[in-house]
Amino acid sequence: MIPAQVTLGSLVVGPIQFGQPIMLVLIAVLGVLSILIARKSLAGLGRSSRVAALVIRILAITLIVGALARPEFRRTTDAVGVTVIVDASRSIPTTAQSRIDQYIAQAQNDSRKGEDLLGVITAAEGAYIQSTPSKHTRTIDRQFIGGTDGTNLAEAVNLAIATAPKDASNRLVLVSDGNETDGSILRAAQAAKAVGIPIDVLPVEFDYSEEVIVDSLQTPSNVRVGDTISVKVILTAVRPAAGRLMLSQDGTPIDLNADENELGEIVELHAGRNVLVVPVQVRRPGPQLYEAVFEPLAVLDEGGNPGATIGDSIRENNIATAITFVGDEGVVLIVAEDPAEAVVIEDALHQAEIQTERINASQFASNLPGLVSYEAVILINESAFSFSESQQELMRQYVHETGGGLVMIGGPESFGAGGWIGSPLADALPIRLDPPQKRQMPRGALAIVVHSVEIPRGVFYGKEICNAAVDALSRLDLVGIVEYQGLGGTDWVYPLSPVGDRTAVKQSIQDLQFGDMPSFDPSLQLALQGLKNASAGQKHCIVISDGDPSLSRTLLRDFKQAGITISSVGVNPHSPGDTNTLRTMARVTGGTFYNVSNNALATLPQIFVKEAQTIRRALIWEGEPFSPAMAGVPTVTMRGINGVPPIGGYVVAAEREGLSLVTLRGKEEDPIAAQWEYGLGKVVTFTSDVSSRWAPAWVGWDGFNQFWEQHVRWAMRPGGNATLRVNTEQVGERTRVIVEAFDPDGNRLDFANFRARVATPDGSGQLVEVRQVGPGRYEGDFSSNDAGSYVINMQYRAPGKEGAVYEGSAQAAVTRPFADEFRSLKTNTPLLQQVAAMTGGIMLPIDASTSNLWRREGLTPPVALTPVWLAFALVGIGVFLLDVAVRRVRISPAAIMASIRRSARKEQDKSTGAADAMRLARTKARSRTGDDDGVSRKSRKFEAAPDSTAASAPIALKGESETDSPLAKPKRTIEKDEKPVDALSALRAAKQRAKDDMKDL
Amino acid sequence: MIGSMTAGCRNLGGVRVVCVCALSTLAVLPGCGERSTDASGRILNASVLGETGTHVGQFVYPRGMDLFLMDGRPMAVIVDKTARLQVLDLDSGSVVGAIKTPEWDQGMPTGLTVGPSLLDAQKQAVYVADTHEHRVLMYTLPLPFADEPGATEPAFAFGSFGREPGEFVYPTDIALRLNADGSVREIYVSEYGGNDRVSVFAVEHDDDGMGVRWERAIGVASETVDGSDDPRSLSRPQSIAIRRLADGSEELVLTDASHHRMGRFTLDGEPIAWIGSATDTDPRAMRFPYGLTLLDDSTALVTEFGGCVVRHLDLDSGETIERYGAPGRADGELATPWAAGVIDGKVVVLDSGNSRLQMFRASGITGEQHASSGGRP
Repeated sequence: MIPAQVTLGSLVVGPIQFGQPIMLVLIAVLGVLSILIARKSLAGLGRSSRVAALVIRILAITLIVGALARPEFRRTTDAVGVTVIVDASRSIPTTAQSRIDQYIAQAQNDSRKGEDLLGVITAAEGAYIQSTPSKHTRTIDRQFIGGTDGTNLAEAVNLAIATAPKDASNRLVLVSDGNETDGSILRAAQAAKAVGIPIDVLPVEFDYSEEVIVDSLQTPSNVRVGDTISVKVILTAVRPAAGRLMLSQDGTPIDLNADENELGEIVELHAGRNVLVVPVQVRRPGPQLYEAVFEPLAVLDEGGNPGATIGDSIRENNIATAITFVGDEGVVLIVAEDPAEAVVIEDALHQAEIQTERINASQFASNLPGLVSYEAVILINESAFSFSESQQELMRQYVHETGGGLVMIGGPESFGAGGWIGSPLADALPIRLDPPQKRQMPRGALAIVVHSVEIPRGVFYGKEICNAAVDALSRLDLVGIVEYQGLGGTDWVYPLSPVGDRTAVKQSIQDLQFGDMPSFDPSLQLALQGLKNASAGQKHCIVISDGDPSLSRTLLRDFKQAGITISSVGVNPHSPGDTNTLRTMARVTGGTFYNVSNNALATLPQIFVKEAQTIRRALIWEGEPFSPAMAGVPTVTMRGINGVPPIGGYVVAAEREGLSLVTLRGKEEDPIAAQWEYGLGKVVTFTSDVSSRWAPAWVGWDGFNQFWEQHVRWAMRPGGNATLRVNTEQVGERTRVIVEAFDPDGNRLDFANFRARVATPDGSGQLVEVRQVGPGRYEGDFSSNDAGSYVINMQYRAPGKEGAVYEGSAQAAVTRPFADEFRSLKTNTPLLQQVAAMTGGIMLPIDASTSNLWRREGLTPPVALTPVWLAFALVGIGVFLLDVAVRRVRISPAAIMASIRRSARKEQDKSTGAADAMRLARTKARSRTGDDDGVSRKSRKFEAAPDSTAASAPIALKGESETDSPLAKPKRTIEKDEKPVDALSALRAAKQRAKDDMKDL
Repeated sequence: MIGSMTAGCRNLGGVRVVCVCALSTLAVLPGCGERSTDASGRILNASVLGETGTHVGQFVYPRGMDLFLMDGRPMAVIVDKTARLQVLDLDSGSVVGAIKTPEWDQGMPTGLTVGPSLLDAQKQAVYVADTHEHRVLMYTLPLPFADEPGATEPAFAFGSFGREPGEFVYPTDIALRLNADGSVREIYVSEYGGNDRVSVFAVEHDDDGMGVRWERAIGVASETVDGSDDPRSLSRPQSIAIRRLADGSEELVLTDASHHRMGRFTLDGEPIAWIGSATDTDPRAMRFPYGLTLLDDSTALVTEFGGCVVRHLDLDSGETIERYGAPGRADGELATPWAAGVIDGKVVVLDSGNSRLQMFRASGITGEQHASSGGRP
């Protein structure tokens, strides 16, 4: 009995599955038809032949219909693929990680069969495959596991499902504390259940019994200068503990106890929630970032005496931050390296009663709250290299997200000549730092030679570096990339050609393989040849390598002779020899050598930007002084100014399409002064300078102060007239902003149109939609799941009485003190149990020796389907031919027996001589033709019969056949001149002859 | 199918014998006389061992290999970019020993040679060119399973970083010159990274034990791209071997990888001949020859890292006899291979870029691996 199984849309019969079983109905229909037809068409056959023919015909129908029903051969496998998902986040104690490894190493051995597969995936902030499922994997080896300040189990489960081998039954083993900070493991478990993959769970048991957590730091959101505020520090202690509490304001420690020499104050915490209040006087305006840090000293016993252990083990949850906004008149920050340049601007602003603070780039803020306290920032002849990438992003964010103003004043180190092309801030400027396409300018050529970057995430960093270098070039510059590709040898992966819109070159960078080149020579030869042939004013080559390929010194001399410099970047050189190779490369050609260790990778893109910048000096225009032309459009910034003094130099840039406005133009319509609104803020650029270098006439110009006051005031963040009350509240991983707006009379303000953005800790920003939900009440919300400070900036316009318009702005801040990863103090076993129950998995026992990872129960073996319709069809056609043969060819058992006898006789004849065999054959032939008397047929006219009387008989040499000859008993043949016999008669005659033959036998 | 054809021939008397013989030949000797590669150079009927990974039996960019017989079974010892030495039974595909070198902070080994142990010539040992640790290690075979770093200390080690005689920058390969009794007489160590030479060390035994003494260096570091600055100039000599000629004399054969050529030197360091595109009529030039295995019929297998091919060439004429492999990832294709050898009539290629071994039979390769290439002491 063949087991049959019907599934949705298919029928399984034994090892065969039919994809379109409905077609099988035809077997019954056609079978019945065949029987009906056979009653007539097969009536002439004998009973046995009729039955055989019918059976064969039905069989042929069955096979051909079977072929139409899409038959597939099913194959199943017994192998089990287990993917272990290991929680590698920091909530799992380090000691537990090694225990996990030992557990899995021991557990996987038991009952494992030869073909069983083991894979490993780690889960932390992201999920990473450590071993794809393989029969070779025996242990947990951790390679790159990514950031560990979070746990995303769902991503790991989804990754495990995606990489589950198709030729094995699959099971997941989740080893975790069950405390996830991102994603939803339950949702992922549902996906696993849907594809039939059970999840076994192994809870990692731990309990932080002596932990202290700084839950939050609370400060008033808005205060005034001179107020004393209460800073509340809320701590949770699992056990009584003592420690030192330290508080800082914008990075400056606050002395909490004047009697002690040390900063901070020793506090004793009782078990549970503790609230400490610290009074702090606010001395300067703007947002103030407060940070509280608790340093544990000892756990306390019941008597309050310090014990021997510190207790607290997770340091990351001992920090909390808060932001307070301190209102006052705005202050403008001036950033300049040359005091002489800064002073002229300071004087101009002071006369307009605008407060300023002056710093140089090294003192620039590293976080947003440190910058938001200023209403505008003025950069005077500052190069991009003076600021880190994050500081540049901070400036952009300051303008776009917080509504701050930016005024960038030029000089030889500024704009495109100062490496700002491709920087985060470039997007915020009202001009394009690339020179205009129409301008014919000397351009630079840069060839980048890349070698394998043998560090974790080396390929990622390598691509980032190349992108940074390309971003720093102008569109007219030439760039090319040479790479050693393992299979294709050394070649230009991007031929030396204009940067253009960077799309093509960035695509090439994306495709880089970072092959391990054996020798620098082929790559450098290509770069040298390309640069030699390039039409460019300045030519430069950058090599990034670990320095171990071989190098021919003569090649370096060729570079030097061609005037092409090489700067080499050593990434983790293996030895002093490698360092020396790269250093020699730079020294001989006149370039620069950079040695970058593993932990200084972040500086790599900066190096490349700076290197690319060496070919960027052509962007400065210097010549006969001229007065820039004023644009005809009246603007607030140029109010009352009818003309400007001449300038003798500026940095060439291009006009930006869109909403930017150029107020002063230079040679060939180059923008000199331009402005626009960017996000919530405003930006002004002036590409000449404020010194005697390019603008000596400006400093003594009587409109100088007015010019700069108007530009700076326009850029400064606007003040508000109406009153706003802003509150925030945390709802899960989102923050809700609640705004209550009032007009100057204190009435609720309706129909206000809000523009709000939030600056997030990762440096990006997001739009916040604020809608009116009640009279004078507005709400919006945003995602705030990362640790750090979120600064919300809002501007609004609302219709007032008698056509008046109310405008204003407000800020608020929210802080998430530390990653949720560090809030977990014990294992979330119920969640893991739920995951196991949902998917049909089990809780694995603590004892590894009794833990069976390779259980077959509950697993559905995978089925491989191979189409076999062709085989069905071929066999069906064969049977069909057999059907025809049965009906058309009569098979007589007697004839078969005779044939067998004949064969037997032949075997016997082999013992006799050849002559006997011939004779026997002749005799048989005669018997078949009826020539029993042994006389030859007449047709064998050249063969003499031994006993013939031919010699005495007349011989006919020609003419009519001797039909009456006594020598011959001719078989009937149809002569040419004989009348043709009809086909039916011929068949009848042949049938009769066959019957005669059979009788003879 | 063969059976039915044989039956069909039965009635043809004498023809039957020929027919059966022909069928037997087809059945018993498949591949005999067939081409080992297709028109593009892809190796036909290659069998694959190993896969990418860090577990036993898996490799991460293996960069050194030598073949040898152990208890009559063909073995390969392989070192990869996780500094693991694994001994693989080529018949069964199973790993019979695996260790890790003691240190690899600077980088991993790239060259292996099997030969008589310095401590006991009756035993086999694997010599490791610990490239980025600037030294040579010797482990006695068979290797145990000890995956922990440094769990198995080398039986002998020498070398340190430097440019003075006897010091190394990046050792790449080792060749052994043997005494008549099979013991090691001299150790040849090739290196690159500025030294680009072959250092020769004499093995000395005295009452205190055994040691090595630097004797001489062969070749000089090249200053030019093509090696035209000196008749002995080398740029990354990646593999070396001692060739024993029919008259009993010996010479040093090496691959001058960055000059894309091979060189034959007297053991005193005088150049005999260069083999490369200048001496070869083969249209496809040699590109970064990394691996070298001498065969006992005066031919050699040269593994081209850059060409992704194994070249079989005649050492005396410098002519290419055949090329095996084409760049790619599929079976029969190679990606930056580092080494190849012959054992039991099978050609074994270390397909480094694909983290695997490929084995095939080539009708054109009839020689066996030369003893001084390592591996068949």
